[in-house]
Amino acid sequence: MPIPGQTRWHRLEQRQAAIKGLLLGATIISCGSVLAILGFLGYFAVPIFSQGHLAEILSWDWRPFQGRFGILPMVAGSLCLAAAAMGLAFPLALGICGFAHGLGPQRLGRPLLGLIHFMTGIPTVIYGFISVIFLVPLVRNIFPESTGYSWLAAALTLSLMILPTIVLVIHAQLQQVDVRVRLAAAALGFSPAQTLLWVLAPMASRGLWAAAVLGFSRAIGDTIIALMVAGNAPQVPHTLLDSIRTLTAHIALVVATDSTSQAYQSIFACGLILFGVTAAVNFALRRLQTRASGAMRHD
Amino acid sequence: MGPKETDNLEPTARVAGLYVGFAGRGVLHDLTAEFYRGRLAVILGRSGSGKTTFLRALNRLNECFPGSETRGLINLKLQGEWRDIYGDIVPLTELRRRVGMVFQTPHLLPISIASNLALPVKLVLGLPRGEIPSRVEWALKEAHLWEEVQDRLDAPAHTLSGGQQQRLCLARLLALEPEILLLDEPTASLDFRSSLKVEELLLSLKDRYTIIAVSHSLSQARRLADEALILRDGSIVQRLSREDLQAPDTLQTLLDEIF
Amino acid sequence: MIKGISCLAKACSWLAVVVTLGAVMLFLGFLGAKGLNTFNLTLFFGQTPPWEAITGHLPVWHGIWPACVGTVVLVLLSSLLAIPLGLASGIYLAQYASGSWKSWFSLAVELLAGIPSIVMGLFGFALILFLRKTLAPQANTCLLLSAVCLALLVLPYLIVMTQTALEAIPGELRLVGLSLGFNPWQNLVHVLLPLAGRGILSGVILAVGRAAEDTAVILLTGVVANAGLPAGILDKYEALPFQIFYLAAEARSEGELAQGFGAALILLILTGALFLGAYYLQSTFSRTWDQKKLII
Repeated sequence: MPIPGQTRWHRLEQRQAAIKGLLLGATIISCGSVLAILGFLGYFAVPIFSQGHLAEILSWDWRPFQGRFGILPMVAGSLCLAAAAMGLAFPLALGICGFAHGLGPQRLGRPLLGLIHFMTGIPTVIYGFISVIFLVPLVRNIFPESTGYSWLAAALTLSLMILPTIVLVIHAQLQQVDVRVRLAAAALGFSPAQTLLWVLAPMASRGLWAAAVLGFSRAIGDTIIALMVAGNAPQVPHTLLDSIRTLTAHIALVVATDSTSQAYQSIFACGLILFGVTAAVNFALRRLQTRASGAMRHD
Repeated sequence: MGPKETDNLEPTARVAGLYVGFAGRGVLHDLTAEFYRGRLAVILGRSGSGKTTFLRALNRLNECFPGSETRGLINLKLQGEWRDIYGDIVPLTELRRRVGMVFQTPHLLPISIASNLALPVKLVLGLPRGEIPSRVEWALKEAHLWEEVQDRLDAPAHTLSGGQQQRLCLARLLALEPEILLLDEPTASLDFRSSLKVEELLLSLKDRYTIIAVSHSLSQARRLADEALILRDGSIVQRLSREDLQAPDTLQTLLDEIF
Repeated sequence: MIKGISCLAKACSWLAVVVTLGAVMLFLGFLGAKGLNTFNLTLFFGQTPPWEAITGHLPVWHGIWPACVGTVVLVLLSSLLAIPLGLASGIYLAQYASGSWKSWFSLAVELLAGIPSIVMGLFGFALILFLRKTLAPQANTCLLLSAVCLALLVLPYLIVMTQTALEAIPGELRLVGLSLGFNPWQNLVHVLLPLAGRGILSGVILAVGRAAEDTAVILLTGVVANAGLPAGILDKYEALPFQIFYLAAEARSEGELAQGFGAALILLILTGALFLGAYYLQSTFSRTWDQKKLII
């Protein structure tokens, strides 16, 4: 006497296999999209090489009406803006994390982190909007020789935007440090501040690197703040008050103005550069993660 | 021990030359054993000796772990016929329903007491909706739980005490009409009084099912077991009958063995 | 000297907190004050009577209602695309994938997560250029294209949070359903997904919030400043983030500027609420599982 349900079992197995197949299909579509994106960017960037424009694109001059399509000023612009924003945001983030983990009163730490969490929900375009209405005229008033749309204004705004990312990554790293380590330090007579400075901080160094890398990549990847506040002059900045253009803003501007095919080629080069930066950041984070016991990633 | 004692009993599970390994590392080697209906067998052994792996081999749960490899023969007598459960003749879902398992900690779903029983009955047995409440009641009575919960069947299962939860897990199993019960340290997470209640329940179920239990407690083995199998280095090295277990010098050997 | 360093560190941290708090308070306060002032029917509908505006009988000039509707439709469409895809992929990665396939898929998801939104928009733009050259010479940037690109943008959130939520379920609990005789699909639907539900839901909310606030993608894929209510998925449309962006640069009067503040405040309330919801769900979810870990 066979166990009842033999044929039912076969149909069940078929259905299970079909379900698994569907789910696999969905995964392939999701993951294949990365290849599709890379593919399309590459496809449109190929003419740069086939038409021998590489040297032109990699030059320091962007004057499309005179046939100059160099994107290096934009590369400089992106780097300068990101570096300045990081220079402001990272120390602030360290201070905030320190405050929440021992340097400040316990009771204030949680609401502070709550506020930081809330900040992650603020849309970037709103940072840009307030900056344009409020910060840019302020800069213009203080430094009458500039229009206000400057490296300085953009860096200030961008630093505020990337601050929560950096804080939360460092915070996650500090939280992960074993409770026993903290108890041991307290048992030795360390105050919370001393525990933080001499015990936790050295252990969290990988998290600090992860936070820096993530913050930097968010800064490089930002478009709206740069587009609205930085001025968009395709030049290498000499002072903080100069107007700069980032790779991201450049893409938006060229698409909007609907210009020549060579200009289009340049934006695909920008796109590829940005994609490459992404991949490099990913690689760096993986290296950091495999060594640290899981620095949390925020996106 | 020996053929005399087990002659009148009906064997329901035969294991021969069982090997189970994960990712190349062997856990069970050449394990041979026999189990009988109406008897409660207890598996004893050091931690890591493979007791849980052995139980999981009997309902093919080891396959849920990546890299698992099983060789050897396991024949179970289900529905009156001997079947090689690794021969792919028995549907996995049927096998697992008829060879039920209780875990160390009671794993109940975050739904009501009645729903915890009704869900498997509906999904696995396919019972029509009308028959489910009576099955639920029957199972709870079998598990000696009915009087304690009959007036709060809709309360969340997590509001029960540890012992009650474990008995609910047993009820859940029994509702599916299993033939063999696998118990992985069923009272490990319970206090003494609750443990005794569960043991009482197991003794009452013994006649109608084949029960194979893993235990860490020697005294529990002495109370419950018709037969104790000592697992060492992945195979059964000794079988002790109920009389053997009561003898005082066995206690010393067992202590040396296990601790 | 150690005491000195301690004091210095404390002082610096206080300074950092005060500076940051000050900036944020100024920022939000400014927005709140100016934005709240603008909250009335003309913000949404301009001079058009509300009922006609909502039903679309009359066009709305100088009101942000079309942009609000545009954002809602855009988010709905991209969610429709992204949620099934993301959930299915997350389930596959958590339950079925293993070995090198799993690591390749995970790599792809990580790369997708890191792509800046402008590059996603550029992809959409490239797609249209390609279609124009080959299959569909009439192809133009539109609502559908934006929805597709936004779906790709938020897909990683959905995949990762679904996968994480499922993998957080302790090992033995995952076996219980199977040990009772459930088949894998029954186990997934009746045991695993309900248990992981809150984590997955918070991922969905996060994705919706991200889609609602994004500007860079829609900039390149079909949003305009004046299109009225979205006519069809192959047409141009308006959206809140772009209105804010546009008004920041092009506002010519106090009235238009006020509109910008109103729109900004509405967008902030929307995304703020969504992110807070997701955060709350996520924290109660992980608290449940940490407790379970202590018992087991």
